Amino acid sequence: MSFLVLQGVRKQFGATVAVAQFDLEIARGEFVSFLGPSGCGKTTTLRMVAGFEQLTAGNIILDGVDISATPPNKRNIGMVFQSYALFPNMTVAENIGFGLMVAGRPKAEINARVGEMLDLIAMPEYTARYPYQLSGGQQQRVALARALALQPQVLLLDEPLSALDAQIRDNLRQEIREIQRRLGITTIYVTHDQQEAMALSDRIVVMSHGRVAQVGAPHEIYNTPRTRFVASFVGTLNILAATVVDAHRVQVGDAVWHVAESIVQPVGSTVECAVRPELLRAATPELPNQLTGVVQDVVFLGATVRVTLLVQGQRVLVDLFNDATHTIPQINTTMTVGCDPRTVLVLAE
Amino acid sequence: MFRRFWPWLWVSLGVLYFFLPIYATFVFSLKAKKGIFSLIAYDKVFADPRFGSSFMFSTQMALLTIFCCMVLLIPTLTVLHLFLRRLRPIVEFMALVPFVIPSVVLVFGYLRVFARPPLSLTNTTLGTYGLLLAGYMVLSMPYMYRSIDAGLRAIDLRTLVEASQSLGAGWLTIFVRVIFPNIRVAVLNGSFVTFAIVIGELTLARFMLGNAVAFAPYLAEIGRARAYEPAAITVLSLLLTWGIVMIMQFLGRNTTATIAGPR
Amino acid sequence: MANGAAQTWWRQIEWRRVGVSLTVAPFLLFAVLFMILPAGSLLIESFRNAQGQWTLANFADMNDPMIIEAYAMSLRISITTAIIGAILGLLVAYAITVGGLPRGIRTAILTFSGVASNFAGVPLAFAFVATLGRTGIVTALLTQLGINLYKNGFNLYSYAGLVLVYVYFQFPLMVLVMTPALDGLRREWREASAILGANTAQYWRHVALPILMPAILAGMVLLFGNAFGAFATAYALTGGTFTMVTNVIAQEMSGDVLHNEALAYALATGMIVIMTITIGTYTLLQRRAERWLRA
Repeated sequence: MSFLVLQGVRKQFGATVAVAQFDLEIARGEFVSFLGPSGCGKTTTLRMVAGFEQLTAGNIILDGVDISATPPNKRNIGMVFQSYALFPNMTVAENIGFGLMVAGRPKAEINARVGEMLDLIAMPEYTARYPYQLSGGQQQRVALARALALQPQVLLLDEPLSALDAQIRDNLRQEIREIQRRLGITTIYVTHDQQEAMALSDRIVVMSHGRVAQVGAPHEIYNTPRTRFVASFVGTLNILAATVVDAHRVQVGDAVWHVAESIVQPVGSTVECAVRPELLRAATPELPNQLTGVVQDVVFLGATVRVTLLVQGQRVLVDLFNDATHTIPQINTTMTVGCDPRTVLVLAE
Repeated sequence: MFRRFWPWLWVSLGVLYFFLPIYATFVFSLKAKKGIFSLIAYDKVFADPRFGSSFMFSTQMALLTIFCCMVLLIPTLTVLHLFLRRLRPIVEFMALVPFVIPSVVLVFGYLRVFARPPLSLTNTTLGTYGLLLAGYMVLSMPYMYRSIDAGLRAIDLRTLVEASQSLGAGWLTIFVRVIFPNIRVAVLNGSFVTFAIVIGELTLARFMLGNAVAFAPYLAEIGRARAYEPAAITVLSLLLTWGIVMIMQFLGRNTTATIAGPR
Repeated sequence: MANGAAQTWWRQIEWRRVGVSLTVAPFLLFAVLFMILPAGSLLIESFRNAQGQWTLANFADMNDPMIIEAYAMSLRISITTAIIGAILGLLVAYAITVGGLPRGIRTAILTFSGVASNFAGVPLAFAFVATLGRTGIVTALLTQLGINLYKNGFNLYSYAGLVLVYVYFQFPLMVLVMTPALDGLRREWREASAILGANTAQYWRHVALPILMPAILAGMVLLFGNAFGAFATAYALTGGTFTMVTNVIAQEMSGDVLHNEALAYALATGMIVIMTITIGTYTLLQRRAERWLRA
């Protein structure tokens, strides 16, 4: 049975619809990310789970109990905010112990729990510091410890890393994942950063305009995006106009491409084919799907080299592995690239 | 609606405290003749030439104070923001000093230093007025300082100045055409407060000029002798102060619009 | 050659710095001439007698029942009106920020506060005479309702009356000081405390009020100083007879009955000392408030 269920959740602010229709079932211990551009309704949904926003319609059920009308302070949910939201008048220990203090637990228990939490975030020597004496990354770790101190049933994280520097972001991301695994806590993570969502999640919910666009494991979302929106939001994608030839072939420019999955669109209709830049390679005879174009630009990215090809007026990106034994393509030369039929997606919309 | 009960109550209480005395003063000023409402008190006020002359005097002093404060403070603060950040605490401290010296203390300090030989400034009318102006500038300094400082903080001063210089503007042009228009709204806020301070200022004027020249001492003197006229003058002074503040606001808006264009 | 060029360059920089520094000179000159010099001269004079000899006698003279009463009264009225003004101002500021009243109300209240906090002195005194004086409108109204203020011990020209008048310009100042502080309370703090199980009362007790406390104290200290230095309001209301430090200074300086300039200088020095402590405390508290609200 699902641990946390969102049923037909809807939120309107006056005439503006923030979340149109949201259905999701989350298993105990699962790590789920809400991914989408700003204004897609992901934060609003999270805030409804937290209890900061009232539902316009629908239900939120936590461990078999409908909590839709429960005030936030009675929900037993932990939350980490984008801006840390540590109480500036309290030390690190007081911040972490706040929930227990408010619940009226004995001092000894609070101290013990605070100690455990400080060990968990590897900051045991920071007990007496104030938030303004900590770096952003440290503040966010304290905020995480504070949210976990009450052993909540669900942990909510609202873009917790977006205010931090790149280096710290990567470290803390790793740490969040490890802590979540160790405690086995059911977690919802809101982000607009697809890499973050990929790295952390068991499942990703891609949202657009207040609706769920696709739900799936990171590799499903990346490899088989169902809509053009999902495809373009997650990773980089070449989208090529094509005409359906038969159930497994499309016409792309001069070339005919093979497609592994069955095409549902009628023969002769115009569709969009998508292929990821890293799945295009320098053409070899084994690759049936080929494209020839003129090299427009070559950008050296370290591990990969991104080549921009102009193919009959369409720009196609190709990511080649940076291999010292190969020569880098020259600008204004022609180049033929190809891909495997299993990597070509025919988009629904 | 019930959730907003307490906020509404506190605001109502505040508004009541604010308006009740003003309303009562207005009603009181109409009751010079027993039993009926009349404008007799106002007639008597206008019949006394000292009312007009003292109000005009204080208005002129107020405008002069605002002008002098701006001339003194805007270039100083601009330079502090641009080049001499380390000097800022000192100037900030100086701008706080007027809070520390009550006006009673200030005026006797002035009389002690400037009214006796060798300076004897108060022997001439001009000297006295100049000293009074300096005193008014000191009293309004914290407010003018804060508003100009806030205005300069709010704009990207360095970029504006460097952009103007790269376009060939001299410092005078930069002050008049670039900095001032951009901090106008902030400066205006300080100017209103200064205006209100100078119009209502009693202590300096009373001890430097005596009873009749400036507005507040005149009002205080009338108040000792009469019952209804002070109320009428209070109403008039409120109206005039508000009127001038609004005119200043209007002029300020208008010029902002012509220089910076509609926003 | 190279050395010479370097020296010229060095010299140019120095000239530029001197020039820049000179632009601050008019302000500093003004400050020294019209702030430091008069106050300093009073300070020095307070240590000299009428014959110009150095002495501490002026401060010894302050040990006089009337002087002590004047200081006590000034302190009492300043503390009382600071507390009352702070509470009322805090409540109004709360109402227009966290209270969630319409935006227009907030703007209107802030404008009123800007005006009212400077509507002190003579006109204010007369407005209260017309309201709560012996023949004032509200006094008359209450008499009709069967409440005779003046027979029940109220007197506008006494301590209670002065408190009432002072609060008129005190509480709007508190509104102006507290509004930015209350705006600085972040929504996330309230939400974080709620999700951690705190109710509204616990949020205010453990989070909001402690965060606001430096700002509240700073506001009260400012109000205290505001009342302590006030002269015109009491002068207009009571004709300068009310025993307060400012009134006594004026009488000792220019009065006919009492006249002891040296004592007045000592009194003025006492005021400056108290005001310096006040403003110093205010600055420290303000700094702490800002640090917390920024974090």
